[in-house]
Amino acid sequence: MRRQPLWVIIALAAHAATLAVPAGAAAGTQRAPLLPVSAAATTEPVEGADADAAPAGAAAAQHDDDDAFHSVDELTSMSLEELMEVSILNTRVTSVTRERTRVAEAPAAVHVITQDDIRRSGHTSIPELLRLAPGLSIARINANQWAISARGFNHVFHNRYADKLLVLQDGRPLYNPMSSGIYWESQDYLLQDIDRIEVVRGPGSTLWGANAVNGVINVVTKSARDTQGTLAHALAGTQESIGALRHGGRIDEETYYRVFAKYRDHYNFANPDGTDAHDGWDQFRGGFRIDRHVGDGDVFTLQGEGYEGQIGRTHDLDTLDLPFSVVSQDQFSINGADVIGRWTHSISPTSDFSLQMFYDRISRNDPVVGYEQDTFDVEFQHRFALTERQQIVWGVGARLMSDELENTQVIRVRDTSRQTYLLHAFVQDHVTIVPERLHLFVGSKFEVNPFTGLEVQPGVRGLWTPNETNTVWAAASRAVRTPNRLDDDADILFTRVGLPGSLVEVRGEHNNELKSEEVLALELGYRVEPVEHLSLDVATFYNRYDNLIGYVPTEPRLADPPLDLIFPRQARNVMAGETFGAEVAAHWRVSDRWRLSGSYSFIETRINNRGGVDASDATTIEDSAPRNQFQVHSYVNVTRDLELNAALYFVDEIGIHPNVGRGDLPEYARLDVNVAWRPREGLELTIGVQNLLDEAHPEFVPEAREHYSEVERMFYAQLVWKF
Amino acid sequence: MRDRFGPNFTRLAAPPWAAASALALLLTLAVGPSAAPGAEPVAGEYDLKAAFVYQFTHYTEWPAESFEDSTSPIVVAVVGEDPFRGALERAVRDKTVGGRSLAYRHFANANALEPCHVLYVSPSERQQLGQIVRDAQDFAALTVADTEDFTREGGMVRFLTENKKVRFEIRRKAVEAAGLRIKAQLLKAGHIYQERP
Repeated sequence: MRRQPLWVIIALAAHAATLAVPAGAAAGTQRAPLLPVSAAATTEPVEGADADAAPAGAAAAQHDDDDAFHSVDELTSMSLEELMEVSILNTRVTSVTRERTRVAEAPAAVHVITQDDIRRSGHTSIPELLRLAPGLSIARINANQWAISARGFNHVFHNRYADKLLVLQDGRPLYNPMSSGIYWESQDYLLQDIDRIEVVRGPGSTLWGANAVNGVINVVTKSARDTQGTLAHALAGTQESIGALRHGGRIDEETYYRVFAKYRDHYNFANPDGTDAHDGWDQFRGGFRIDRHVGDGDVFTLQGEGYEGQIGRTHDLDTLDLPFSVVSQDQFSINGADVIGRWTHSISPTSDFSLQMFYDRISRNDPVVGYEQDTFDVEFQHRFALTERQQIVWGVGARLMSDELENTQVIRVRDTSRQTYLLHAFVQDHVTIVPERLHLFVGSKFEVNPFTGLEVQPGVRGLWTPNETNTVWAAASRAVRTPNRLDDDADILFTRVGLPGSLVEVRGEHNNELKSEEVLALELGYRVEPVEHLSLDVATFYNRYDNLIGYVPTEPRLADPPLDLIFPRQARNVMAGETFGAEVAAHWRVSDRWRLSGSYSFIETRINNRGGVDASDATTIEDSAPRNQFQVHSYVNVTRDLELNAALYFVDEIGIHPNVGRGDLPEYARLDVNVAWRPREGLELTIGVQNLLDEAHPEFVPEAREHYSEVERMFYAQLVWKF
Repeated sequence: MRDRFGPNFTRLAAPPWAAASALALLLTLAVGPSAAPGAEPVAGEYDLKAAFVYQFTHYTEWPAESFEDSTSPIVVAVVGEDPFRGALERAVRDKTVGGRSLAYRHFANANALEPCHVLYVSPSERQQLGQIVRDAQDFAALTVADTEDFTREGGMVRFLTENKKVRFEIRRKAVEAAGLRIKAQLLKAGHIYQERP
């Protein structure tokens, strides 16, 4: 354990300095007249899905946009026509209850990353944007790989990526059923066209199913109706460059479309010794979205995208001769495409249904795990009022997957091609016990998968709003992480050891009798708006895990030449454990021009093995996520068209697997600062820096084989032009 | 392996920070206040609704007998738990409409109701909605609420949200029954409640 208080103090001082600059500057411009709203109300309209009447107010947990925030006094000086153009500041989410719910009234630990947050953060990719959410562990392994999880378990272990998080984009799951992890480098979008990213910590399994063990992330893109016109984006930075173009238009009175293309090129990071890490990558992506709004009740959406890219990877390659392991630098290609069709029909304000279908194809020529996969999915969802006090949401769905795996030196499977399926259904009853005050959500997901058969994942959530400014919620849920294709079928080469006169291989072996990893999660949360313009959100949890998968050494056996001996380790459900922790988030609108938000999270993980498993595996999980994290964001509108944004992140130390090195990866602080200037309507110029505090730092050390590099400081300049 | 994370691994760098902050300051000074159009106007939900309620007073005509004399104020009131948290009171403070000043009142519940001119019915009073609507009709108050079934239950103006913007629905029959007149401009801006045959 090493502490670096100096680091933190300097970071805090730097942040204080950030605030000092705009506060003074803003004071000098207080008299700048506010523009007539009719002139200002020319930017894009917001997402068009929430035509629902607003229920009575509760604590506003979040403010999503403060470009032209108006106080009551300003509002009363506006005309009726002007008022009609003002948007409400509050954010609604669908991930928690599958009904559109206000964040402040969601019975779960939920955070929304809004378009405004995205724009002001200076982050350039979806995985990096997730740093904004409280309580997530975001660790960048190298230029093109990330380890991301919620509430612990952020280990990357023998090609097992953090596997207890479900990530969706417009309802399409992004996690890879092969390994249950997510290839973050394959996930991208035109960031300006993302409406919001909903981040739910804790199980979302009751509605979303297996893998939503510790969290659900839903990336929601804007409707084509809200992205009319042309947008050009160019970013030039010391670590990457990005160019993108989008055009949105109208096909007829009811039908809107957009098309976009984006290219990104990321340069190499450096190894800890300063040498080139050979982890640069580039990617081209193109896509479209068509939304047809028929009357008030029907929305038809068709969207799709495709991408192709090259990834640089440095990894250890095992050999049969001395030195048995060499460092290999490869470049491989990835590509993919998907199409989603969705029909949403509104029957009445309390009843609607949707039918969604998607097709998704991924291909990776990864030298470690190469495969192709096709997925076809169909899902139906229906919402209706059973009685005046009971709102039912239910749905059914089916997924077909077909894959083709390439046996590599590292991964060997018996079936190189498989067709698998997944059938699922869910039902949730939202009971209003006392209108506006007490709500109960009871539901369950039922899922049939080819590995463990039927999985039932029930959950109950309660929401109590004693008055307009206080909200208390509690939840109990059971969730599972079902075994995946690799657990079930793949043998993995861990390492080879050359002993005098013999060559020994340590090999992880599949187990087709694995059970699902499971969790029983208890959560309790509280939101309060103690004074006007300040809101606090506290979430606590206690999770009990069972049947966690670990590798158990079994009898060594003789092997075919040139190998002499194999030390097998079989995947088994041998570990159990618990986690507990708390996350606190706060939003404070200091003035009309200055907004602060921040969060702190704490987690304690305890894993024990029930027999035979290498104890270091349990330790790896325990130390995989930082125990303490905090972040502070400052958003200042210096003038009407000049913004100063700053973000400070502190991430506690994490452990390193004993196989790789001894000790811990030290804590780090990261400071991002940017200045955005809008010289004229539709044009925004930004200059900024990420990682201002240090030249480079590592964030993660994967267990074996894969190499990590240091995340470097980046200066960048960006242009976004809408016309 | 361990020496990868030696004590010198942290490389603090002050000069770039200083440069960036100087640059930020420079930009701030260089640009100064400007009148270029800003972004989308936004506001708190109930701040915005309070401003709408204030606007409604401009477009409503009350029967003469609902005022004691020509100088009595237009009373804007809330019955039940107040979701405005002071915003409505602030919106009407020190304002005059058509020669009358505006006044704000709050009634704890349906039983405490007294004559007024605009009445916002809190969702907390859902159970007493029928009684409130009848009472308000008697003393010719413009009734306003957020609750979904408000106009169906006899209320006059119901707020709804479309694309994050505040819209409202007017039930003309209820307005006319109370002897109120709403000007065409307001009717045009709102949705009209369709009476079911």
